[in-house]
Amino acid sequence: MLSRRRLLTALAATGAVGTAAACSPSSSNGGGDDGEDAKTLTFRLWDETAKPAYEESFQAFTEKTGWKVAITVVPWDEYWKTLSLDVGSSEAADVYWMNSANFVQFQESGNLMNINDVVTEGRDKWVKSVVDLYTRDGGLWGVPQLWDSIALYYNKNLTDAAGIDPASLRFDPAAPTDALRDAGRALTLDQGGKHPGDEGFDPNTRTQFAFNAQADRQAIIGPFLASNGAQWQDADEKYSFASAEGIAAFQYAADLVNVQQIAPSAADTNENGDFTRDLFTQGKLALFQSGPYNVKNIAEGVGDTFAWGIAPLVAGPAGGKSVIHGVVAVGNARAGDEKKEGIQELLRWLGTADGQRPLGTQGVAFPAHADAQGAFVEHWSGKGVDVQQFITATNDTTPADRGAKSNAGLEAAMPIFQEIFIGRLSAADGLPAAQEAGNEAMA
Amino acid sequence: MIRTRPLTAYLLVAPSLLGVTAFLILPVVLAFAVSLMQWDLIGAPTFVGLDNYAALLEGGSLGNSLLVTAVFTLISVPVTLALGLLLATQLVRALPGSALVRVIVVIPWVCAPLAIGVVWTWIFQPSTGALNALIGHRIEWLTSPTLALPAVAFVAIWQNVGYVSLFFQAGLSRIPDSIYEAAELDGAGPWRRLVSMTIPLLRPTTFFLAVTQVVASFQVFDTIYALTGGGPQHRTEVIAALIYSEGFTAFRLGRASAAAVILFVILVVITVVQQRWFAKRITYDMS
Repeated sequence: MLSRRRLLTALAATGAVGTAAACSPSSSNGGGDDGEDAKTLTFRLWDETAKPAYEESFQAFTEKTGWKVAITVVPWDEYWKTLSLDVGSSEAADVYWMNSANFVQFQESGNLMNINDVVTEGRDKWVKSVVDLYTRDGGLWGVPQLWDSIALYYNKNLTDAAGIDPASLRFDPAAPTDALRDAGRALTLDQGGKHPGDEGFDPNTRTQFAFNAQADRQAIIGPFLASNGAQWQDADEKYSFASAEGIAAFQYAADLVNVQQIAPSAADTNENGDFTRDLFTQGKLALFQSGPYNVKNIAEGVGDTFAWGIAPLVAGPAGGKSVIHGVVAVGNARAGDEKKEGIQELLRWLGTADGQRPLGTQGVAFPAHADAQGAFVEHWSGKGVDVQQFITATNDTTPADRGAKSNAGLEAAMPIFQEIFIGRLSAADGLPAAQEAGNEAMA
Repeated sequence: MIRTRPLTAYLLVAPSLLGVTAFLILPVVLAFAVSLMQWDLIGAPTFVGLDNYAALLEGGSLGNSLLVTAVFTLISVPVTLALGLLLATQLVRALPGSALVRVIVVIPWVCAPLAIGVVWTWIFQPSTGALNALIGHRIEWLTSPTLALPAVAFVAIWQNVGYVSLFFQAGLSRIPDSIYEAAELDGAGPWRRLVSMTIPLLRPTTFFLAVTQVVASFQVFDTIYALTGGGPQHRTEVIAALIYSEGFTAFRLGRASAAAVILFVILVVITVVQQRWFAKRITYDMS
């Protein structure tokens, strides 16, 4: 029989927001109805590339415990909407991926199992920064699965030709110029072979770009602001990025696009966040600041066309601060009693090195268990890629978004960030407005 | 004399009535109920009275969305109807290739709006898009606050003009040739025949298309979602996009429902006004 809450959610989805919901994909997959039986658990994630790794992991789990696990991938664009609808109608998967920007909302509403009650051994092997991200109200609300930091991919052919050492790049908004801007000019070319600042340089015919300054919270905005001494959120988890340091760093990053002309137009990158990654794989972008989540795409996209490597991210006056983010697997606290034992077994398994190792051996991401991380490094070193810089980046970090509805806050602030990058708003005007809009959305 | 059998009649309409109740009336009632609550889908809803309506009206986002929707409607509907009529007048003449053209112009309407939106984002792309390559200038179609809405309206027009022309072709085929022959004998030229005969005789078709196109333009979402996501600067955030954003980005189901209720009221008012306006006009009987 349908519960009143489930009925309300189902009807609300068709009626309350019917005009929009009618246009959105169905949420029929990923819930608790995928091939379920008494000894089958459901697991949901948003990354298709991680699915084979979990299949391998769950095969061992099934042999060990007898519990089967049905995996469902819901694409990122639909993940949070679908999850909210499914949680609201008690149809959520038994175990599912969660990020720091969304977990508080689910935790505060009593939908997540407290991992402190489930996993008692081996927790000291989990990456501490990820554990910290998901520790709240005296509990730990997810089993760390993978983490990412930020570093600088570089096209070795282009940097060598320009005589640039990517590991030496620094920025300083207060200085008249700096290593990043100098390197940017040397690495940017128009159709006539001219660099920015040369007489007759035409930015509309650029054939080669230097750097991916764009409205990317994790890879660009977060590191630039933190590396200039700005704080993203205060102790109350409200946005506080519109400080003098934040405004200076943001304006600097936007000026790389509009004044220095060493980064692609925000008209391209606002619409397509992967535009710069594609330019990099095509050999048209020299420096691409991003995370290990792009290693696979870059390795496959570049192939043998040019030599590339990974350097530390661009450092600022306060150092080179990488946003560190981690994904956890959470247990559905509202699952039926017949599933509780299986969910706890699965969470315990997912917290072990054996449970996470396929994420590393298949080159998906850095596993959050210290004993499994080497597998990821070995996988990529076997392909000639040194990913050590991502580990080094964890020595100097700035946290990812946290707090209830921080995803909604970021969604509200992002259009204003994009306006600054496109040059229609100054950071001095835009950043306070973005802070206010973000805080209002999170309230 | 045919005797009515109420029970049989009720049984016959029951499936339809059930569907309308379950999928239209009940959700509308529930949307109103949810509009009086604060609810993020995950936690329990709490009653907040008219706070959601007040927040929408005070915040300015609803006013902006209504304005964007109105401008979008004013651009897209008249142009779609005019181009649809023009196209129909040519296609109904059964010129060589007309059948093929009839099929081609309807294809955009048959395609999934979301897919069309994605394809047009590639075409409009500033650096690598086909349109800029064709005209030889770099124009930021979808990220310019002044060009984004006209660009979006253009796609909507392109998508719907074939569908509209189908109805006009059907309407035109019902007008007897003898009327045009008589007019020609009286010295009426092509323009005079169009204005004084074709357009008045097509009034029922035009009424139907005007109502459905206005309603559809107030509900447009997927194409805009794919093209601009409501940006830049909320310049293409039509009311359906606002509802989606409030509901599934901010997870404020109450506010999303309040906006949906307001949209519902607006559509009812527009439909009634259109109906009365057209009802006052003369409709010619061609039978």
